[in-house]
Amino acid sequence: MNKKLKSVLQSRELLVLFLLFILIISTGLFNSNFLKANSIIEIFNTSLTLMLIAVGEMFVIITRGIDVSVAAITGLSAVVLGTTLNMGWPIALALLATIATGILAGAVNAVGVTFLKVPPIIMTLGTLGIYRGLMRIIAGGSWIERLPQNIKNPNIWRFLDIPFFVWLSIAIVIVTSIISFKYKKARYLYAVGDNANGAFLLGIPVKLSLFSAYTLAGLFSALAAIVYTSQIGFISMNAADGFELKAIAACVLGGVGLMGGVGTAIGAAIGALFLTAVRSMLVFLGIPGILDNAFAGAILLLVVYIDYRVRKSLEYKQIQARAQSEDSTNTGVNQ
Amino acid sequence: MFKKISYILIAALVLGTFASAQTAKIAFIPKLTGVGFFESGGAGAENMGEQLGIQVKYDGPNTASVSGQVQYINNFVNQGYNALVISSLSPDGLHQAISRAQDKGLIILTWDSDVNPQDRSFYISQGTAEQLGRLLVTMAADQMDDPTAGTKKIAFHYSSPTVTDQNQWTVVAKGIIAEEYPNWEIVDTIFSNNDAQKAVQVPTALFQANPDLDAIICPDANALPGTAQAAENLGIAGKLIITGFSTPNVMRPYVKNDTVAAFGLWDVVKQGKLSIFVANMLVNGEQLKVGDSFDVPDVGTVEVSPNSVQGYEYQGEVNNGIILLPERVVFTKDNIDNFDF
Repeated sequence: MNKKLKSVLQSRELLVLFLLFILIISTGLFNSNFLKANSIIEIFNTSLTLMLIAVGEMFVIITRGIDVSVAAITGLSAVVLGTTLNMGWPIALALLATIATGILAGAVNAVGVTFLKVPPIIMTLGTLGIYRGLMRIIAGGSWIERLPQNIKNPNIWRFLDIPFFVWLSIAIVIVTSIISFKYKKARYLYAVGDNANGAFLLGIPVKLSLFSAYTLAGLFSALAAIVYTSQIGFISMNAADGFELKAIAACVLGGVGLMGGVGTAIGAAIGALFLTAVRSMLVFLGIPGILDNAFAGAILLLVVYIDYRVRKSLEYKQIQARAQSEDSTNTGVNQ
Repeated sequence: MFKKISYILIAALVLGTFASAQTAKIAFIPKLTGVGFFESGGAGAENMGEQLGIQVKYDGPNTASVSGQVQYINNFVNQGYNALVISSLSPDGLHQAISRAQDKGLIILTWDSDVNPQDRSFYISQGTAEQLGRLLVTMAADQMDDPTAGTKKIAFHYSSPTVTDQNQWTVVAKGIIAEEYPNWEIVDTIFSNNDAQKAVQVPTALFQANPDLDAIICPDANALPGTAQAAENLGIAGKLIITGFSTPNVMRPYVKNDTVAAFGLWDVVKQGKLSIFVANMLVNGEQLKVGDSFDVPDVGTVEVSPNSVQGYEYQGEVNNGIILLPERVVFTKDNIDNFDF
């Protein structure tokens, strides 16, 4: 096998991107409208909320943790955004309050996990309930409606036919990826996830790293809330409900290892894009809405299975290759 | 003398407890809390409770889950409520909890979404499936220059295929279309499961898959604003007919900017009031038969209809049937500001 193809197949990000490409082309065979640039752009646009939440989740999963409160933080931040806007706050101030809410909510998780030593799943399951509850208290139990137009405007802004939020999110994902590759302290997260004790012995600030992972998850969830509010135009009490699991699925799909230490922001983003695309494709294919969930689940399983098979066969080939080369060196020695 | 006073005191106490037992305690249960539609119904219910001087409690699960509703029903039974008015998530799923409540002497009514007619006394209905299904078709047809000319491409968008009421309206609407507008082609029916984000994503894909769509009918509180937002995001607002059922407050911006010209609903505040009024009558031992009519403050004159208006076969002798809200509302730019729910 050609070396380049091998490295493409070995990278989960590129494999999923490749499969996404195949799915798009095959859907396009049935409904050519799907291949129009606009359709692809809209899928990208729709996936942004999930994408940002998934990137936040990635930081936590890299440290071998899990955060199931991310979607609740998005909901809570969205409610703060909607409420402050409806109270007549200037938009810049309302956005600041939203981001502060996300960071604070993430920091609460961080304190629980790093200092109180509560297992991450328990801690964030608890705060999931608390944040959803707070949402209801702040909003008085009903939807937040009649949002001012200024929060919905950015959603219509376009440069080169591509929505502003898409540019912004791509920029965020790329910058995040670059930072996590080039910036030494960002590598601490990977080290902690790979082997926390080892990292500690190397003098890496384990607690601080964990703390920043959960806080970053909160920050990204708040960013998602801003996009969500702008795109949806009203905030229901179950806003972003269920996105915690989708975000985890997006991470896994995009090659973020649940055992910690492995993963990239680009991977999480591609995973989110894939999950969103599947849902839209079903509409283009005219598959009855009743079957949506079943199809989406089946496609997901298929992708993970293909990924697993490809990986296994590559591993097998590598072992074979190694065995052969060892064979030849061995025989060389004997002779 | 002391004896006399203590007799009087005891008599007063007995009378007092008797009197307080007479004030009805009624629970008004939504499919889920936190949705404008149900909150407004709950506000109407509690308002009628104040008017009648009885105790009305609006509460329910915060996600649309049958087991959540069962829990609430059981809790209200244990707290000694006299009557429950339920917007049911599942006719069969609630059967056991309701039977248990009835065994303990509670009166069961339904509002918004019904259970099996054997399981309740009255269903306080927003309209028959015929009335609401026809309203959906009429609202779409009225916005076309000539609804009978040329091929029209139509789609439906609502919460999920298992929701009884929305499904019934859609079936009726599709029947009317087949019969009266054979030139309308139904290209797709899409679902968004009460999820606001999906309610934007799914119609976005639909609009792009069918760029020549003429109308989309969305009989769901989430689906209609989501569809309107999708059209706005794609910059195609005003180029196709978007109509359906939702609440005026969430639809106001879309009506004001001409994305949605007309949509319908019923006055859910009145539905809440009517429900509590009827529940209180039954708690006070009144007997209502099919054909009886009575006045309800803030609502008007209502009549007891047989279960057959909703297509049921079962019909009890007394205190069983359907009470319809007198009217449904079509909201447009001109009247939407008269409503706040």
